[in-house]
Amino acid sequence: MVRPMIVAVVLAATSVAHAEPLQLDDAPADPDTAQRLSTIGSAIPLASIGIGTLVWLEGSNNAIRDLGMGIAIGGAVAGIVTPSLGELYSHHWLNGTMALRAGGLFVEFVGLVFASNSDVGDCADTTGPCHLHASTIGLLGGGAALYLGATVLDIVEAPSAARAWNRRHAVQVVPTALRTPTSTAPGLVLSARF
Amino acid sequence: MRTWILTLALAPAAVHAEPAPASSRFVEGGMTFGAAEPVIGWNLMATVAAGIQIAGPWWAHAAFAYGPTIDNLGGHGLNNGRNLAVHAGAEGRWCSSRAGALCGIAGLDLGGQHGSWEPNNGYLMSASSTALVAIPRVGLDVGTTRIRARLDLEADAALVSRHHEVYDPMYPTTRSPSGILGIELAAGVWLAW
Repeated sequence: MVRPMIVAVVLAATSVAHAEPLQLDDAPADPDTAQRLSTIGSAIPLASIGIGTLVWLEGSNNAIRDLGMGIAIGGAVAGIVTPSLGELYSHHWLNGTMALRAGGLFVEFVGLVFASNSDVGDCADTTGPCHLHASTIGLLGGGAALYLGATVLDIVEAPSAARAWNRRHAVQVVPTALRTPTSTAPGLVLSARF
Repeated sequence: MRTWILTLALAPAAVHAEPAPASSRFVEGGMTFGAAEPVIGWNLMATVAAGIQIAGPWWAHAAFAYGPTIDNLGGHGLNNGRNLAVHAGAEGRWCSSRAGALCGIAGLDLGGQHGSWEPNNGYLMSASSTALVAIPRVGLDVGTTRIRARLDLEADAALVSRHHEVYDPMYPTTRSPSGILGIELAAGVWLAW
């Protein structure tokens, strides 16, 4: 008599199933979504850098050029993090690619300082023609390669990060039967690994 | 690695996981912050926009923006300038998933832009600029299929422009600046259906 009552209480207390979004911590990561997130997160800052630089160089007055410079710099800084959106979505919070992009941006900045017409730049000596040193060109190229390479790496690796998360937190739902004292009821087994 | 097994009673209700129907039209209200000819300073414009999905990721849209300008030197107050922009064009939207939690946008508009300014600085008495511009745009939007927040970066590349300046009322000058006549960051809220 006690068992049927317990089963009845459990069934009565069970709410109707809803297809509401799962908590992020529980949700499996979709590899395609991860890659799209990284692609969007890469394209927007790169486009902002491109448009900002164009406006910085070609703007028709100082306010326009200043804002272009600000947007180019802001896009470059945002682009340290946003290409990793796919990996962040896959719960991979700390990424070496972020460090690579930050390093690339620093190297690029040092190269731009040497390339600029300043007291520490390659053109500080005004007695002769101005040429960029090979080291400055190396810094500019190396910084850009580091930044762009890490960005491409994030896009390529985002699906793998999602699959790795799914493997670590695999969720399986399989049909089963629940035996009660008087009959057998259909049920589901939810299996997860942590 | 431990394996946890949880047994659930199968509820008789139907379980649905269908995606929400995608929206194909939107109206948007928002603000832009930027700089544009002829004003040397920042502009702050209120914007309204509307769009319709053409096919796949491709949308057509039109936008109107108008507002005052702000001095970029000293007090950062209103500096008697005005900017107006009307533009329309096409854009592609590519989303991270069918529900579109995050979408990237790239587009190109054509439009007109007009600005005026009376700086009263003792030299330049007034300036106005009217231009036909091409506007490359990139941006992103986040949210649900019904309500989305959107951030755009727009550049105003001159196709045809006419810039009128008055230093001396007896000798107004006119020139045709080329290059980039303005840049704006636009933020808005989308209502879609």
